[in-house]
Amino acid sequence: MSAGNLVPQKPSMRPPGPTLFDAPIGSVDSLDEGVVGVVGMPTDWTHSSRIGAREGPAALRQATTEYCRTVLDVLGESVVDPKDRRRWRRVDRGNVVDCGDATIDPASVERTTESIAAMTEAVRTQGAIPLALGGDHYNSYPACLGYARGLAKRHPGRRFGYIQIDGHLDFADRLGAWGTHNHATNGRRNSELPNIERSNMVWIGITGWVDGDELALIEEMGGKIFSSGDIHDLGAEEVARRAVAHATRGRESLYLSIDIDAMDAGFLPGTGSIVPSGITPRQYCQILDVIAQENVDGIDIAEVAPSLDPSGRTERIAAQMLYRVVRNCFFAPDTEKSR
Amino acid sequence: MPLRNAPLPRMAGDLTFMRSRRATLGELNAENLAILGAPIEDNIGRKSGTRFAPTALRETSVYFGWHANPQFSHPVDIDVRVPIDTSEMHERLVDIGDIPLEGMPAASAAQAIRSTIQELRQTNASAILLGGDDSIVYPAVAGATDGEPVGFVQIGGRLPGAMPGDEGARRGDCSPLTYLLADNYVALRTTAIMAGTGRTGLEFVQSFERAGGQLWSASGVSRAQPGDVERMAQVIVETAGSLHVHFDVSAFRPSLHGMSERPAFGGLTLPDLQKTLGEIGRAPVSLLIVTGLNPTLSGLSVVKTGLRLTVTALLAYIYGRLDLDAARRP
Repeated sequence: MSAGNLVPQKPSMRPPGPTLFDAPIGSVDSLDEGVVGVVGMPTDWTHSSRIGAREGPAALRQATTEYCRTVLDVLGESVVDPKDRRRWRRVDRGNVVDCGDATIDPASVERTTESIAAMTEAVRTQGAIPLALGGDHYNSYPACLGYARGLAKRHPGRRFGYIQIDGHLDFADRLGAWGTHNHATNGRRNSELPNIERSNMVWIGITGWVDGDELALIEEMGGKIFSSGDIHDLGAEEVARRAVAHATRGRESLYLSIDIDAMDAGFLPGTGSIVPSGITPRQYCQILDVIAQENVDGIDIAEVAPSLDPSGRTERIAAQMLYRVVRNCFFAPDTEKSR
Repeated sequence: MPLRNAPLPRMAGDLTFMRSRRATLGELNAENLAILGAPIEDNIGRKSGTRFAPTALRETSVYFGWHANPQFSHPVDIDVRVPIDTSEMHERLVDIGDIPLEGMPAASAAQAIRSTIQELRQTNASAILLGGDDSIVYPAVAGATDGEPVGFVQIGGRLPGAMPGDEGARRGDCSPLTYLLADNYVALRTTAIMAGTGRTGLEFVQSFERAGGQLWSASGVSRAQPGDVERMAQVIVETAGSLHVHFDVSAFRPSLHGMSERPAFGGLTLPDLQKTLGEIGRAPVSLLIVTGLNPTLSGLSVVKTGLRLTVTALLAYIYGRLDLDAARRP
């Protein structure tokens, strides 16, 4: 793919409304190491059917800010996880910085791809963690592309593992009239990045029927697939543990791509490609809880399409999912007070 | 052989079920599984809209038209890693369109459905009739008989309120099955009701079962061992000589979709329905009648969960009926 005439990567557009988790606004080139740098990808031109995910970044910012103000902000300095009674203490909110949206060019997948990649590359180059908000799931590719470039600059020679939570493999080489760069090919394109370790690629939540040739290719390269049936049979936490073990085997970096459509559409209908997976919000969060304990240094979340869910629960559930991923930015384990 | 050598965008082209070949009634033979629609309902309540289901189901089914997509190799059920051989699908699965019912009075529409199914029966093809509400069930099954009662399985849908001949059986909210039994188009001993909705009396249950009818609760369906439903279907076929199935989407647990004309508590999960329809499909079913899906309920038309659920469940039936899922059989 030719980069063509690239749009300027900086300055990015500032979000007009709330920021993710009510975070301070910052620039992609002034982040501290370890900070989560948020990058919006408000585009769904690469989705083949039910569009609406271009409203995802704004909806996630709104819903996470609502979550902060109604839940997180009213908690004390020390909180207890009712599940395991572990204590957590509040940490500085500055661990998350919202860097605004990438510039989107609806007429050019190439320019949009490079615009997003430039931002996530800048974030990762500084040792920060890009958190890219989709958008349709194609945008996982530009987000991961920039992450991979940034990782190569910061840690030359390092290869990364990959977990994609999704109802679909997204591993097609082409999708009909949409060609090679769309929401059905992002997993494939990510697998072609030079510093990804293909044998460390894992899919969680795949549902229904998949293309036999794509399945064979993934198995041939050493990738691993956990279906929604595996989640029901083995338990969400066990699947997540096995997925993490496979994805991090011999790796220090892990990229996480979250497509919300792995969850059953009965719970979360506001997404482009719904699946009847039976996966509940609880199971999805259990998976994220396990993965969040690992050294995840690049994240995207995609396919939040608020206009497809009149009830508004999709973005609220997605906000809670995101919180599970970045919880360590708000609360740290209080080892002294934990039992 | 796929019709095209290049994939078609999902919303483009001739709208047929799963991108299947279009055919006419006269072209059908015993190898075919024919899709046809009956876009009609007698529902005049505030939740009318099932007449739009045949088109909505076809639109959703295009997503699953892998056999007509040259960029797709073959589907694999990811949970059990079983490949489905769809190479014959293009020859056998055909869409013959909708019965032209628009603007007809109810009696004429019923007659049109009945005569279409009569004609279909002459071809020996198996068929899936997409409703519509359950008002299409009576004329469809009546058209399928040759004077003798046919075997009948009802999945979801209204439970009969009374036995035929009982006082009140034809009053009020009677199910189509009540009328089919009363008019001897189906017989009690070759009838099964699975995950029926609504209420019925203990007297009906006792009389129904005493006469040889089978009642499966939703939990009973869920507990069934692999092969149980197929055996039941085969026994009905051997006894009655044929099998006709009415699948009303009220069989689905309503928390999963909310698009049923008559949502009911309880109900079946998608895996339970896939298991049930897949096993029934392995029996020589003449006609599957799908009713009760309302794609127009407020707000839900954009959500489409019910449509996707229904087509996913139907796929299990189609694969079973066309004998494409042999590797998955117990």
